[in-house]
Amino acid sequence: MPNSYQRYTDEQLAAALGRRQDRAAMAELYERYGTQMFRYFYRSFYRDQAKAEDFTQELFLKLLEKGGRYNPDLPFKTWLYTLAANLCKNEFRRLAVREKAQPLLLPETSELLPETIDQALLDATLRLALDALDPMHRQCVLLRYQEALSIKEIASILDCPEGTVKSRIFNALRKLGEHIPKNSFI
Amino acid sequence: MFDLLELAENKAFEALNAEERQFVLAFMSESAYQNLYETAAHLRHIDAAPTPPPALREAILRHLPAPQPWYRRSVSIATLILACLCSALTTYLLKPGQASPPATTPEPEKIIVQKTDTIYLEKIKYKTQIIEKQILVPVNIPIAQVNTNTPQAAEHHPQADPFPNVQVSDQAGAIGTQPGLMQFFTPATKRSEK
Repeated sequence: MPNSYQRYTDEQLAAALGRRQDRAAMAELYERYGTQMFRYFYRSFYRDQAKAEDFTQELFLKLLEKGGRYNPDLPFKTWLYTLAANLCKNEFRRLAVREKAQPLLLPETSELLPETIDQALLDATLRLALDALDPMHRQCVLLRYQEALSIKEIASILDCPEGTVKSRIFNALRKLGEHIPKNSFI
Repeated sequence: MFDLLELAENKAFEALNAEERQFVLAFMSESAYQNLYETAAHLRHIDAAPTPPPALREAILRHLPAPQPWYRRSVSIATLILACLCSALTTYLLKPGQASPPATTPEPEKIIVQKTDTIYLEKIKYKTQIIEKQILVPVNIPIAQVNTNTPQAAEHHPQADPFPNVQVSDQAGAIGTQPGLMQFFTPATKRSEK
């Protein structure tokens, strides 16, 4: 059944959520960004699904709590990613997740498996190399290539200049490239 | 000017034009550039993240208040109706036909000026130094009782009143009628002795 809130923009929904804790607005925002944010946390926390669930929930509750302070001039998506990135940053600081990173586990379900074993190995190698990056470089790469955000958006989310983001991504690509065998691109 | 990262994200080395190739080769070799390009392309396709469980949505929505019936939801409408009723009641009680109380004109501000006058001037010759002593005493003379024909009165109360709104307080009479002031005067007999 089509939801009447579908016609509203993200910014309008966020404003409604902040003003009167609108349940339907929250449901619609979750429909739009729930999966995306869950995956962002899943990748950020080294494929820890339980943690991704916890943080997705925390993020949306934070949205409820801080919705009243949302500035509609700022794109909602950028604001949401800023909240998510701050949650990640705090968690990295608190637990030093990087040291506790689990070794890569290949997906168990066949539908998630890549088409060829070579591709699977290459992906696995790349994920491990990505996990080995320091958190700031890793965040930039994840936001750029997994979340498909622009350099400008990433700079706004991480609160740093665009040049810094570019330089981090460029250096990260160089490091990751060392783990890719030549002519492996399919 | 080209952006190296932007090129590496979007174009393989073979796809670069001569100018772009020249720009890239100024920074790195062809194989290094190709490696960057392939890494960026791979990173976009290693996504194997699962979807969130449906229970997550319910867990989030559980923190929000359940939808209320319309009469509870529209608090603003109820408030509006209440406000209208209150204003109607106030209007009825005030009876708009009733004459409004007469406007009161503000009374002019009264300024009380206490005038002082020199009533005693004594010069005492002490050795070679002459000390001049001047005593100022408040004088309250009613305007009506002042004989303006005398030069003293004319001096203190000129004909043209410069302060039309000024009310002069008048409690005392002439100096001679106030024994308290007589202390400032030296009796004529003592003066002659000196």
